[in-house]
Amino acid sequence: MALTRGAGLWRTCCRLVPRQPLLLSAAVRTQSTVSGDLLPCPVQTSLSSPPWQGKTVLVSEEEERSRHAAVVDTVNQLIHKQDFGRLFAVVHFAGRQWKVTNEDLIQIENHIDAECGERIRMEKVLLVGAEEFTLIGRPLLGKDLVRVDATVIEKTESWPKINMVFWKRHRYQRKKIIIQPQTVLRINSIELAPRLT
Amino acid sequence: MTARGTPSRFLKSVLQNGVGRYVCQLKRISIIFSKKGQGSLGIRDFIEEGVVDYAKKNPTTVVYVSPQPCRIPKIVAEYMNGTVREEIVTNKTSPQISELLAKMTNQSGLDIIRIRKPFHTDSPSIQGQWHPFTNRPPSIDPIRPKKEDSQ
Amino acid sequence: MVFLSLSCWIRNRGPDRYWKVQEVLKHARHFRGRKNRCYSLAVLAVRRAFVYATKARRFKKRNMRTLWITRIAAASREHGMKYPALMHNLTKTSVQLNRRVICDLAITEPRSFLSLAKLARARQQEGLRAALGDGKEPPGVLSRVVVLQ
Repeated sequence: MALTRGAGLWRTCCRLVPRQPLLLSAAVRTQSTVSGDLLPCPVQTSLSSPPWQGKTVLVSEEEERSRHAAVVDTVNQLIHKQDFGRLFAVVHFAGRQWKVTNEDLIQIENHIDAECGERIRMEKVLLVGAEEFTLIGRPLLGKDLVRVDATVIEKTESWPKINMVFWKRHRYQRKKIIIQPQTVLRINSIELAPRLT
Repeated sequence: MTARGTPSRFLKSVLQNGVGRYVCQLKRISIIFSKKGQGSLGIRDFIEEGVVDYAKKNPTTVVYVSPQPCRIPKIVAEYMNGTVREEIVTNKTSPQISELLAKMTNQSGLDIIRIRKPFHTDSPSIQGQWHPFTNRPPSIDPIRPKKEDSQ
Repeated sequence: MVFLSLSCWIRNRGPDRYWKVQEVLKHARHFRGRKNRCYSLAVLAVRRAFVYATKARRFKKRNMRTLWITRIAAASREHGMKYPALMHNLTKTSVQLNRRVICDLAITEPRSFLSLAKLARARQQEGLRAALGDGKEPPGVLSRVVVLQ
Protein backbone atom coordinates (compact mmCIF):
# COMPACT_ATOMS: atom_id res chain seq x y z
CA MET A 1 0.00 0.00 0.00
CA ALA A 2 2.78 2.39 0.93
CA LEU A 3 4.64 1.55 -2.24
CA THR A 4 1.70 2.40 -4.51
CA ARG A 5 0.96 5.63 -2.67
CA GLY A 6 4.62 6.62 -2.95
CA ALA A 7 4.61 5.84 -6.65
CA GLY A 8 1.51 7.98 -7.11
CA LEU A 9 3.17 10.95 -5.41
CA TRP A 10 6.28 10.45 -7.51
CA ARG A 11 4.19 10.43 -10.66
CA THR A 12 2.47 13.72 -9.78
CA CYS A 13 5.79 15.30 -8.89
CA CYS A 14 7.27 14.20 -12.16
CA ARG A 15 4.52 15.94 -14.07
CA LEU A 16 5.40 19.36 -12.58
CA VAL A 17 9.07 19.24 -13.56
CA PRO A 18 8.81 19.17 -17.36
CA ARG A 19 6.32 22.06 -17.32
CA GLN A 20 9.05 24.60 -16.67
CA PRO A 21 11.26 23.82 -19.65
CA LEU A 22 8.08 23.90 -21.81
CA LEU A 23 7.26 27.42 -20.58
CA LEU A 24 10.79 28.53 -21.36
CA SER A 25 10.71 27.10 -24.83
CA ALA A 26 7.28 28.56 -25.70
CA ALA A 27 8.90 31.68 -26.98
CA VAL A 28 11.36 29.61 -28.90
CA ARG A 29 8.71 27.28 -30.33
CA THR A 30 8.51 27.47 -34.06
CA GLN A 31 5.40 27.07 -36.15
CA SER A 32 6.74 24.90 -38.85
CA THR A 33 4.85 24.56 -42.06
CA VAL A 34 3.65 21.22 -43.27
CA SER A 35 5.94 20.61 -46.14
CA GLY A 36 9.34 22.03 -45.20
CA ASP A 37 11.95 20.69 -42.80
CA LEU A 38 13.16 22.86 -39.95
CA LEU A 39 16.77 22.90 -41.06
CA PRO A 40 18.27 21.52 -44.24
CA CYS A 41 20.04 18.31 -43.14
CA PRO A 42 22.52 16.57 -45.36
CA VAL A 43 21.88 13.30 -43.47
CA GLN A 44 18.40 11.73 -43.39
CA THR A 45 17.79 10.21 -39.95
CA SER A 46 14.63 8.81 -38.42
CA LEU A 47 13.86 12.17 -36.85
CA SER A 48 14.87 14.46 -39.70
CA SER A 49 11.34 14.61 -41.06
CA PRO A 50 7.97 14.18 -39.37
CA PRO A 51 6.48 10.68 -39.67
CA TRP A 52 3.48 11.83 -41.69
CA GLN A 53 5.59 13.21 -44.51
CA GLY A 54 5.51 11.34 -47.75
CA LYS A 55 2.64 9.09 -46.63
CA THR A 56 -0.28 10.82 -48.32
CA VAL A 57 -0.84 9.59 -51.86
CA LEU A 58 -2.26 12.29 -54.08
CA VAL A 59 -4.93 10.80 -56.32
CA SER A 60 -7.50 13.11 -57.82
CA GLU A 61 -11.06 12.69 -56.60
CA GLU A 62 -12.43 11.92 -60.05
CA GLU A 63 -9.96 9.10 -60.58
CA GLU A 64 -10.81 7.69 -57.15
CA ARG A 65 -14.50 7.86 -57.94
CA SER A 66 -14.05 6.17 -61.29
CA ARG A 67 -11.97 3.39 -59.71
CA HIS A 68 -14.58 2.83 -57.00
CA ALA A 69 -17.37 2.77 -59.60
CA ALA A 70 -15.49 0.17 -61.67
CA VAL A 71 -15.01 -2.07 -58.62
CA VAL A 72 -18.67 -1.76 -57.55
CA ASP A 73 -19.74 -2.53 -61.12
CA THR A 74 -17.71 -5.75 -61.34
CA VAL A 75 -18.92 -6.91 -57.95
CA ASN A 76 -22.53 -6.11 -58.86
CA GLN A 77 -22.22 -8.16 -62.02
CA LEU A 78 -20.74 -11.12 -60.19
CA ILE A 79 -23.50 -11.04 -57.62
CA HIS A 80 -26.19 -10.68 -60.27
CA LYS A 81 -24.97 -13.70 -62.18
CA GLN A 82 -24.46 -15.59 -58.87
CA ASP A 83 -21.00 -16.30 -60.20
CA PHE A 84 -19.30 -16.97 -56.89
CA GLY A 85 -18.35 -20.35 -55.47
CA ARG A 86 -18.45 -20.91 -51.74
CA LEU A 87 -19.41 -18.00 -49.50
CA PHE A 88 -18.16 -17.34 -46.01
CA ALA A 89 -19.69 -14.92 -43.51
CA VAL A 90 -18.73 -13.42 -40.18
CA VAL A 91 -21.77 -13.62 -37.94
CA HIS A 92 -22.30 -12.13 -34.48
CA PHE A 93 -24.20 -14.72 -32.44
CA ALA A 94 -24.47 -15.46 -28.71
CA GLY A 95 -22.05 -12.66 -27.83
CA ARG A 96 -19.31 -14.02 -30.08
CA GLN A 97 -18.25 -13.57 -33.67
CA TRP A 98 -17.94 -16.65 -35.81
CA LYS A 99 -16.41 -17.09 -39.26
CA VAL A 100 -18.85 -19.44 -40.89
CA THR A 101 -19.34 -21.32 -44.18
CA ASN A 102 -21.92 -23.80 -45.42
CA GLU A 103 -22.27 -27.11 -43.64
CA ASP A 104 -20.14 -26.29 -40.66
CA LEU A 105 -20.82 -26.77 -36.96
CA ILE A 106 -20.92 -24.22 -34.16
CA GLN A 107 -21.26 -24.85 -30.44
CA ILE A 108 -22.94 -22.26 -28.21
CA GLU A 109 -22.46 -22.35 -24.44
CA ASN A 110 -26.05 -21.61 -23.50
CA HIS A 111 -29.63 -22.59 -24.07
CA ILE A 112 -31.53 -21.45 -27.15
CA ASP A 113 -35.33 -21.35 -27.26
CA ALA A 114 -35.61 -23.24 -30.54
CA GLU A 115 -36.24 -26.97 -30.53
CA CYS A 116 -33.95 -29.54 -32.13
CA GLY A 117 -34.40 -29.56 -35.88
CA GLU A 118 -35.74 -26.01 -36.19
CA ARG A 119 -34.26 -23.56 -38.68
CA ILE A 120 -32.84 -20.29 -37.41
CA ARG A 121 -31.90 -17.19 -39.34
CA MET A 122 -28.81 -15.33 -38.08
CA GLU A 123 -29.37 -11.65 -38.58
CA LYS A 124 -26.20 -9.87 -37.46
CA VAL A 125 -23.84 -10.41 -40.37
CA LEU A 126 -20.62 -8.37 -40.26
CA LEU A 127 -18.80 -9.54 -43.36
CA VAL A 128 -19.49 -11.73 -46.39
CA GLY A 129 -16.82 -12.97 -48.72
CA ALA A 130 -16.29 -15.17 -51.74
CA GLU A 131 -13.17 -15.99 -53.63
CA GLU A 132 -13.20 -12.85 -55.77
CA PHE A 133 -14.78 -10.19 -53.53
CA THR A 134 -15.58 -9.29 -49.93
CA LEU A 135 -18.46 -7.21 -48.62
CA ILE A 136 -17.55 -5.49 -45.36
CA GLY A 137 -20.39 -4.17 -43.24
CA ARG A 138 -20.05 -0.96 -41.26
CA PRO A 139 -20.77 -2.49 -38.80
CA LEU A 140 -23.58 -4.74 -40.08
CA LEU A 141 -24.72 -5.76 -43.53
CA GLY A 142 -28.36 -5.32 -44.48
CA LYS A 143 -30.88 -8.07 -43.88
CA ASP A 144 -32.07 -7.85 -47.48
CA LEU A 145 -28.53 -8.49 -48.72
CA VAL A 146 -27.36 -11.61 -46.87
CA ARG A 147 -29.26 -14.52 -45.40
CA VAL A 148 -27.57 -17.03 -43.08
CA ASP A 149 -29.65 -20.10 -42.14
CA ALA A 150 -28.84 -22.62 -39.44
CA THR A 151 -30.45 -25.70 -37.87
CA VAL A 152 -30.32 -26.68 -34.22
CA ILE A 153 -28.87 -30.18 -34.11
CA GLU A 154 -28.19 -31.00 -30.51
CA LYS A 155 -28.87 -29.57 -27.07
CA THR A 156 -26.61 -31.24 -24.52
CA GLU A 157 -24.71 -30.36 -21.41
CA SER A 158 -21.02 -29.68 -21.20
CA TRP A 159 -18.56 -32.03 -19.54
CA PRO A 160 -18.43 -31.44 -15.77
CA LYS A 161 -15.86 -28.69 -15.21
CA ILE A 162 -14.34 -28.41 -11.76
CA ASN A 163 -14.00 -25.04 -10.06
CA MET A 164 -11.71 -25.28 -7.08
CA VAL A 165 -10.55 -22.53 -4.72
CA PHE A 166 -7.83 -23.20 -2.17
CA TRP A 167 -6.07 -20.76 0.15
CA LYS A 168 -3.02 -22.19 1.83
CA ARG A 169 -2.64 -22.00 5.59
CA HIS A 170 -6.23 -20.77 5.92
CA ARG A 171 -8.09 -24.11 5.85
CA TYR A 172 -10.29 -22.85 3.05
CA GLN A 173 -11.15 -24.91 0.03
CA ARG A 174 -14.29 -25.04 -2.07
CA LYS A 175 -15.00 -27.41 -4.91
CA LYS A 176 -17.83 -26.81 -7.35
CA ILE A 177 -18.79 -28.82 -10.43
CA ILE A 178 -20.14 -26.70 -13.25
CA ILE A 179 -22.25 -28.17 -16.03
CA GLN A 180 -23.37 -25.73 -18.70
CA PRO A 181 -26.06 -26.28 -21.31
CA GLN A 182 -24.70 -26.38 -24.85
CA THR A 183 -26.33 -26.10 -28.24
CA VAL A 184 -24.85 -27.29 -31.51
CA LEU A 185 -25.90 -25.51 -34.70
CA ARG A 186 -25.27 -26.55 -38.29
CA ILE A 187 -25.04 -23.66 -40.76
CA ASN A 188 -27.18 -24.68 -43.70
CA SER A 189 -26.73 -21.91 -46.24
CA ILE A 190 -25.44 -18.41 -46.88
CA GLU A 191 -27.27 -16.52 -49.63
CA LEU A 192 -26.48 -13.21 -51.31
CA ALA A 193 -29.29 -11.22 -52.86
CA PRO A 194 -28.71 -9.70 -56.31
CA ARG A 195 -29.07 -6.13 -55.19
CA LEU A 196 -26.38 -3.70 -54.14
CA THR A 197 -26.40 0.09 -53.90
CA MET B 1 -11.72 -33.50 -13.90
CA THR B 2 -8.89 -31.62 -15.47
CA ALA B 3 -8.83 -31.17 -19.21
CA ARG B 4 -5.53 -33.11 -19.47
CA GLY B 5 -6.76 -35.89 -17.23
CA THR B 6 -9.85 -36.73 -19.22
CA PRO B 7 -10.16 -37.76 -22.87
CA SER B 8 -11.19 -35.11 -25.39
CA ARG B 9 -12.69 -35.03 -28.84
CA PHE B 10 -13.44 -32.58 -31.62
CA LEU B 11 -16.92 -31.22 -32.27
CA LYS B 12 -18.73 -33.35 -34.77
CA SER B 13 -22.15 -34.63 -35.66
CA VAL B 14 -23.34 -38.15 -36.35
CA LEU B 15 -23.39 -38.75 -40.12
CA GLN B 16 -23.67 -35.01 -41.01
CA ASN B 17 -27.01 -34.68 -39.28
CA GLY B 18 -28.61 -31.37 -40.23
CA VAL B 19 -27.07 -30.82 -43.66
CA GLY B 20 -30.11 -32.33 -45.31
CA ARG B 21 -32.80 -33.44 -42.93
CA TYR B 22 -32.57 -33.42 -39.13
CA VAL B 23 -32.99 -36.87 -37.57
CA CYS B 24 -33.54 -37.34 -33.85
CA GLN B 25 -30.62 -39.37 -32.61
CA LEU B 26 -32.43 -41.25 -29.88
CA LYS B 27 -33.37 -44.70 -31.11
CA ARG B 28 -34.82 -46.53 -28.14
CA ILE B 29 -35.78 -45.86 -24.53
CA SER B 30 -36.34 -48.69 -22.06
CA ILE B 31 -37.84 -47.79 -18.69
CA ILE B 32 -37.02 -50.43 -16.08
CA PHE B 33 -38.90 -50.07 -12.81
CA SER B 34 -40.58 -52.15 -10.16
CA LYS B 35 -44.30 -52.28 -9.57
CA LYS B 36 -44.11 -52.02 -5.82
CA GLY B 37 -40.74 -50.48 -4.89
CA GLN B 38 -40.81 -47.15 -3.11
CA GLY B 39 -38.02 -45.63 -5.25
CA SER B 40 -40.05 -46.22 -8.42
CA LEU B 41 -42.95 -44.08 -7.27
CA GLY B 42 -42.00 -41.17 -9.52
CA ILE B 43 -41.55 -43.49 -12.49
CA ARG B 44 -44.95 -45.04 -11.94
CA ASP B 45 -46.55 -41.58 -11.84
CA PHE B 46 -44.71 -40.63 -15.00
CA ILE B 47 -45.92 -43.78 -16.75
CA GLU B 48 -49.49 -43.02 -15.73
CA GLU B 49 -49.37 -39.43 -16.98
CA GLY B 50 -46.55 -38.54 -19.30
CA VAL B 51 -45.24 -41.54 -21.23
CA VAL B 52 -47.95 -41.61 -23.87
CA ASP B 53 -47.58 -37.89 -24.59
CA TYR B 54 -43.83 -38.29 -24.81
CA ALA B 55 -44.13 -41.21 -27.22
CA LYS B 56 -46.56 -39.28 -29.42
CA LYS B 57 -44.30 -36.22 -29.42
CA ASN B 58 -41.28 -38.26 -30.56
CA PRO B 59 -42.55 -40.68 -33.19
CA THR B 60 -39.02 -41.67 -34.21
CA THR B 61 -38.17 -43.05 -30.76
CA VAL B 62 -39.36 -46.46 -29.52
CA VAL B 63 -40.40 -46.56 -25.87
CA TYR B 64 -40.24 -49.85 -23.96
CA VAL B 65 -41.79 -50.04 -20.52
CA SER B 66 -40.69 -53.10 -18.57
CA PRO B 67 -41.81 -53.60 -14.98
CA GLN B 68 -39.35 -55.97 -13.33
CA PRO B 69 -38.52 -56.87 -9.76
CA CYS B 70 -35.53 -54.53 -9.37
CA ARG B 71 -34.13 -52.43 -6.58
CA ILE B 72 -33.20 -49.33 -8.59
CA PRO B 73 -35.32 -47.99 -11.44
CA LYS B 74 -33.40 -47.06 -14.58
CA ILE B 75 -33.89 -45.44 -17.95
CA VAL B 76 -31.71 -46.94 -20.67
CA ALA B 77 -31.34 -44.82 -23.81
CA GLU B 78 -29.79 -46.13 -27.02
CA TYR B 79 -28.60 -43.78 -29.75
CA MET B 80 -28.03 -44.09 -33.47
CA ASN B 81 -24.27 -44.37 -33.16
CA GLY B 82 -24.58 -47.28 -30.74
CA THR B 83 -23.96 -45.50 -27.43
CA VAL B 84 -26.00 -46.77 -24.51
CA ARG B 85 -26.68 -44.43 -21.60
CA GLU B 86 -28.21 -45.57 -18.35
CA GLU B 87 -29.69 -43.07 -15.93
CA ILE B 88 -30.72 -44.04 -12.43
CA VAL B 89 -34.02 -42.39 -11.49
CA THR B 90 -34.58 -43.55 -7.88
CA ASN B 91 -36.68 -41.17 -5.82
CA LYS B 92 -37.23 -38.71 -8.65
CA THR B 93 -40.55 -37.00 -9.22
CA SER B 94 -42.54 -37.24 -12.42
CA PRO B 95 -41.71 -33.72 -13.75
CA GLN B 96 -38.02 -34.33 -13.06
CA ILE B 97 -38.17 -37.54 -15.07
CA SER B 98 -39.88 -35.84 -18.00
CA GLU B 99 -37.18 -33.12 -17.96
CA LEU B 100 -34.52 -35.79 -17.98
CA LEU B 101 -36.16 -37.55 -20.89
CA ALA B 102 -36.39 -34.28 -22.84
CA LYS B 103 -32.67 -33.70 -22.25
CA MET B 104 -31.78 -37.19 -23.43
CA THR B 105 -33.94 -36.78 -26.54
CA ASN B 106 -32.10 -33.62 -27.49
CA GLN B 107 -28.68 -35.22 -27.11
CA SER B 108 -26.89 -37.19 -29.72
CA GLY B 109 -24.99 -40.23 -28.63
CA LEU B 110 -21.53 -38.62 -28.74
CA ASP B 111 -19.47 -38.71 -25.52
CA ILE B 112 -19.82 -35.88 -23.05
CA ILE B 113 -16.13 -35.13 -22.69
CA ARG B 114 -14.08 -32.05 -23.34
CA ILE B 115 -14.64 -30.64 -26.80
CA ARG B 116 -11.47 -29.07 -28.10
CA LYS B 117 -12.90 -26.41 -30.39
CA PRO B 118 -16.39 -24.95 -30.39
CA PHE B 119 -16.55 -25.05 -34.18
CA HIS B 120 -15.87 -27.46 -37.01
CA THR B 121 -15.41 -26.75 -40.71
CA ASP B 122 -14.68 -29.07 -43.55
CA SER B 123 -13.56 -26.21 -45.78
CA PRO B 124 -11.70 -23.72 -43.59
CA SER B 125 -10.19 -21.66 -46.39
CA ILE B 126 -12.05 -20.28 -49.39
CA GLN B 127 -9.56 -17.83 -50.84
CA GLY B 128 -6.59 -20.08 -50.29
CA GLN B 129 -4.72 -20.72 -47.05
CA TRP B 130 -1.93 -18.24 -46.35
CA HIS B 131 1.56 -19.47 -47.13
CA PRO B 132 4.78 -17.44 -47.01
CA PHE B 133 4.62 -16.65 -50.73
CA THR B 134 1.02 -15.36 -50.78
CA ASN B 135 1.82 -11.70 -50.42
CA ARG B 136 5.27 -11.72 -51.97
CA PRO B 137 5.59 -10.64 -55.58
CA PRO B 138 7.71 -13.08 -57.57
CA SER B 139 11.32 -11.87 -57.54
CA ILE B 140 12.40 -13.74 -60.63
CA ASP B 141 10.72 -13.23 -63.97
CA PRO B 142 8.66 -16.13 -65.24
CA ILE B 143 10.84 -18.85 -66.67
CA ARG B 144 10.62 -18.89 -70.45
CA PRO B 145 12.61 -20.83 -73.05
CA LYS B 146 15.67 -18.82 -74.15
CA LYS B 147 15.38 -17.11 -77.51
CA GLU B 148 18.18 -18.36 -79.68
CA ASP B 149 19.99 -15.23 -80.86
CA SER B 150 22.11 -15.63 -83.93
CA GLN B 151 25.55 -14.56 -82.86
CA MET C 1 -15.35 -67.32 30.17
CA VAL C 2 -17.43 -65.07 28.09
CA PHE C 3 -16.09 -61.75 26.87
CA LEU C 4 -19.14 -59.55 26.54
CA SER C 5 -17.46 -56.24 25.83
CA LEU C 6 -15.28 -57.58 22.99
CA SER C 7 -17.88 -56.67 20.39
CA CYS C 8 -18.08 -53.10 21.72
CA TRP C 9 -14.40 -52.55 20.93
CA ILE C 10 -14.73 -53.28 17.21
CA ARG C 11 -15.25 -50.08 15.23
CA ASN C 12 -16.95 -50.08 11.88
CA ARG C 13 -15.26 -47.20 10.10
CA GLY C 14 -17.50 -47.16 7.05
CA PRO C 15 -17.90 -49.52 4.12
CA ASP C 16 -17.05 -47.08 1.31
CA ARG C 17 -13.41 -46.18 1.84
CA TYR C 18 -12.20 -47.95 -1.31
CA TRP C 19 -14.56 -46.03 -3.57
CA LYS C 20 -13.88 -42.68 -1.95
CA VAL C 21 -10.14 -43.22 -2.41
CA GLN C 22 -10.60 -44.31 -6.02
CA GLU C 23 -12.59 -41.15 -6.74
CA VAL C 24 -9.50 -39.10 -5.93
CA LEU C 25 -6.94 -41.45 -7.48
CA LYS C 26 -8.73 -41.59 -10.81
CA HIS C 27 -7.88 -37.91 -11.35
CA ALA C 28 -4.23 -38.63 -10.53
CA ARG C 29 -3.57 -41.57 -12.82
CA HIS C 30 -1.58 -39.55 -15.35
CA PHE C 31 0.73 -37.95 -12.74
CA ARG C 32 4.38 -38.74 -12.27
CA GLY C 33 5.89 -40.63 -9.35
CA ARG C 34 4.16 -41.80 -6.19
CA LYS C 35 1.47 -39.14 -6.57
CA ASN C 36 -0.39 -41.45 -8.93
CA ARG C 37 -0.54 -44.33 -6.45
CA CYS C 38 -0.47 -43.15 -2.85
CA TYR C 39 -3.62 -41.50 -1.57
CA SER C 40 -2.16 -38.91 0.79
CA LEU C 41 0.23 -37.60 -1.87
CA ALA C 42 -2.45 -37.78 -4.54
CA VAL C 43 -4.91 -35.66 -2.57
CA LEU C 44 -2.53 -32.71 -2.52
CA ALA C 45 -1.54 -33.09 -6.16
CA VAL C 46 -5.13 -33.38 -7.34
CA ARG C 47 -6.10 -30.30 -5.39
CA ARG C 48 -3.29 -28.30 -7.03
CA ALA C 49 -4.32 -29.63 -10.42
CA PHE C 50 -7.90 -28.46 -9.97
CA VAL C 51 -6.82 -25.02 -8.75
CA TYR C 52 -4.44 -24.64 -11.70
CA ALA C 53 -7.22 -25.69 -14.07
CA THR C 54 -9.55 -23.07 -12.61
CA LYS C 55 -6.95 -20.31 -12.92
CA ALA C 56 -5.90 -21.41 -16.40
CA ARG C 57 -9.41 -20.91 -17.71
CA ARG C 58 -9.00 -17.19 -17.02
CA PHE C 59 -5.44 -17.00 -18.38
CA LYS C 60 -6.39 -18.80 -21.57
CA LYS C 61 -8.51 -15.86 -22.67
CA ARG C 62 -5.62 -13.44 -22.15
CA ASN C 63 -3.11 -15.67 -23.92
CA MET C 64 -5.37 -16.22 -26.89
CA ARG C 65 -5.90 -12.48 -27.25
CA THR C 66 -2.14 -11.77 -27.26
CA LEU C 67 -1.68 -14.53 -29.83
CA TRP C 68 -4.31 -12.99 -32.09
CA ILE C 69 -2.72 -9.58 -31.73
CA THR C 70 0.71 -10.95 -32.63
CA ARG C 71 -0.66 -12.67 -35.71
CA ILE C 72 -2.61 -9.62 -36.86
CA ALA C 73 0.49 -7.46 -36.38
CA ALA C 74 2.57 -9.85 -38.49
CA ALA C 75 -0.05 -9.99 -41.24
CA SER C 76 -0.52 -6.23 -41.35
CA ARG C 77 3.25 -5.67 -41.54
CA GLU C 78 3.24 -7.77 -44.68
CA HIS C 79 0.95 -5.16 -46.18
CA GLY C 80 3.00 -2.22 -44.92
CA MET C 81 0.88 -1.22 -41.94
CA LYS C 82 1.31 -1.59 -38.21
CA TYR C 83 -1.11 -3.23 -35.81
CA PRO C 84 -2.19 -0.11 -33.85
CA ALA C 85 -2.76 1.82 -37.09
CA LEU C 86 -4.82 -1.03 -38.55
CA MET C 87 -7.07 -1.53 -35.53
CA HIS C 88 -7.55 2.17 -34.86
CA ASN C 89 -8.51 2.90 -38.43
CA LEU C 90 -10.83 -0.11 -38.60
CA THR C 91 -12.68 1.11 -35.52
CA LYS C 92 -12.84 4.60 -37.04
CA THR C 93 -14.54 3.16 -40.12
CA SER C 94 -17.02 1.43 -37.75
CA VAL C 95 -15.97 -2.10 -38.70
CA GLN C 96 -16.61 -4.08 -35.54
CA LEU C 97 -14.75 -7.29 -36.24
CA ASN C 98 -12.97 -8.72 -33.24
CA ARG C 99 -9.36 -9.83 -33.12
CA ARG C 100 -10.12 -13.51 -33.32
CA VAL C 101 -12.02 -13.13 -36.58
CA ILE C 102 -9.46 -10.77 -38.13
CA CYS C 103 -6.74 -13.27 -37.22
CA ASP C 104 -8.73 -16.10 -38.85
CA LEU C 105 -9.23 -14.00 -41.96
CA ALA C 106 -5.52 -13.24 -42.12
CA ILE C 107 -4.75 -16.96 -42.06
CA THR C 108 -7.47 -18.48 -44.19
CA GLU C 109 -8.71 -15.56 -46.36
CA PRO C 110 -5.67 -13.47 -47.26
CA ARG C 111 -7.49 -11.41 -49.89
CA SER C 112 -10.19 -10.30 -47.44
CA PHE C 113 -7.46 -9.29 -45.01
CA LEU C 114 -5.81 -7.30 -47.77
CA SER C 115 -9.08 -5.49 -48.40
CA LEU C 116 -9.37 -4.67 -44.68
CA ALA C 117 -5.79 -3.37 -44.69
CA LYS C 118 -6.51 -1.17 -47.72
CA LEU C 119 -9.65 0.18 -46.07
CA ALA C 120 -7.66 1.03 -42.95
CA ARG C 121 -4.91 2.70 -44.98
CA ALA C 122 -7.43 4.80 -46.93
CA ARG C 123 -9.00 5.95 -43.67
CA GLN C 124 -5.54 6.67 -42.27
CA GLN C 125 -4.66 8.87 -45.21
CA GLU C 126 -7.99 10.64 -45.02
CA GLY C 127 -7.23 11.35 -41.38
CA LEU C 128 -3.72 12.60 -42.19
CA ARG C 129 -5.05 14.88 -44.90
CA ALA C 130 -7.69 16.26 -42.57
CA ALA C 131 -5.09 16.85 -39.85
CA LEU C 132 -2.40 18.39 -42.05
CA GLY C 133 -4.81 20.57 -43.99
CA ASP C 134 -3.62 22.75 -46.86
CA GLY C 135 -0.51 24.00 -45.17
CA LYS C 136 -2.09 27.42 -44.81
CA GLU C 137 -2.67 29.06 -41.43
CA PRO C 138 -6.20 29.64 -40.19
CA PRO C 139 -7.47 33.15 -40.97
CA GLY C 140 -6.76 35.85 -38.43
CA VAL C 141 -3.64 34.16 -37.06
CA LEU C 142 -0.18 35.60 -37.49
CA SER C 143 2.81 33.43 -36.92
CA ARG C 144 6.48 34.24 -37.00
CA VAL C 145 9.38 31.88 -37.21
CA VAL C 146 11.93 32.69 -34.48
CA VAL C 147 15.16 30.74 -34.38
CA LEU C 148 17.54 31.08 -31.45
CA GLN C 149 21.13 31.47 -32.50
